[in-house]
Amino acid sequence: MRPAFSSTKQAAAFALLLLVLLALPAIVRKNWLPPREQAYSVQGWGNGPYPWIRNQIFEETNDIDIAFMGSSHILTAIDTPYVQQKLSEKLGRPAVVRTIAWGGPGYDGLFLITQDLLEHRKVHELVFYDESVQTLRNSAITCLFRFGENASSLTGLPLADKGLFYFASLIGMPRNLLSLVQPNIPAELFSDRPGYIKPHDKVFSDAPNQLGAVALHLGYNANPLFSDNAPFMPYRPLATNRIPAAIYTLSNQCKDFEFSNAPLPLWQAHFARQFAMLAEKHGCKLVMLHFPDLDKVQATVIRERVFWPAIFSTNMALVGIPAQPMFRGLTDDEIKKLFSDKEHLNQNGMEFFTPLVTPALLELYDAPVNH
Amino acid sequence: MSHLHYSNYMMPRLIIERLIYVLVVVLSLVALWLVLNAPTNFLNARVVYQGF
Repeated sequence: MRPAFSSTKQAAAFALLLLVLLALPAIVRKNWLPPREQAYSVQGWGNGPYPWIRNQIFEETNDIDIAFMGSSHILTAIDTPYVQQKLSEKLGRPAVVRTIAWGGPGYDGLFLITQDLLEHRKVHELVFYDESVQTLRNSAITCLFRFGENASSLTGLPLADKGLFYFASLIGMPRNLLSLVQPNIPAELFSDRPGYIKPHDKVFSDAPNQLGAVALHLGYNANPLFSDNAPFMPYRPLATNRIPAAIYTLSNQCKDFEFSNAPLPLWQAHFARQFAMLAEKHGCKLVMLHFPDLDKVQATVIRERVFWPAIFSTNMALVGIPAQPMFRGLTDDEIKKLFSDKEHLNQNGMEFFTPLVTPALLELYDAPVNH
Repeated sequence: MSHLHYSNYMMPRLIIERLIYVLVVVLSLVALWLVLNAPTNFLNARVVYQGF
């Protein structure tokens, strides 16, 4: 068999190459990385409305009254202009409400993006949801986690998790080094130029028109493996006496919430805690919002995976509506018209759900900071 | 005789050669562990959410 290396010098060169490549995330310190803004510019529209997120973190500078942050469930569920209008009416001044959301769940992404936002803007109330809904990892972590500047957030994690984030940083390294040589030009938020936005990116590129929210014009898709959505049919359930959203805090332990003890991956709990500490440091009120799930439309209580105040180690508020009274009077087919799949609300669902939870979110706006 | 094959002068060179090959194996194993330990969607970001 031919030897792998023709000489020891060749083996040494290969070892050196491997060593340099593997050590790059540790070698490239914070000062040598491209500006943080490049972690967003590099992503385009394909994986979420990242040009909008970049704009909100690095360009718009005013304080945010309410920020909806998180992955796709919150991106598609909240009619942000509606909430902004209601808050403006309540405050008697133009309020600033924004959705800053993306594709791919995980408390790691929530922590990293919130960290960037709070470094640049003051947020009064931050609304998020349970990011541990899927086992898939947020693929944008390879851009968002840069070992040279984010390594300290890994303290306390097991070696396997640390290795995973180190590898994410390694995968992102060629992009980072290229950004040093040739910075990415930020994508335009609004463009009518033909071909500027790819057809399947259009769903996200509408976010700037809706203050960051994405209204899905998709009918129901029962197929969990690929997109097979029914045509979108506008539908608005008749206005009946829907019950208002329930609020749970440690001082007001509402009986509508039920907490189980499902295991939470260690890394999720770790970044959830980091996220809460970050909010506390910046005096930002935390509200966790519960979204309906088509599999649980008969539930008479709001089932939470774990007792979140213990995971976050903070006196946060939880907001939600038990599914059974929320959908009372609607047939299964009518309920499906509100969803684009079993977990994501479409535009019908967004218009149905937002007015139901807005009063609770506005009530919490006035409550004292809850840490 | 084999013990005469390498002089004392050559021993450090032999050790260095072996260390280089050990380093190649160790670094390759570290790289393999990093790849196997990571989720596949880190390597192919668009596949996971393009249908959304």
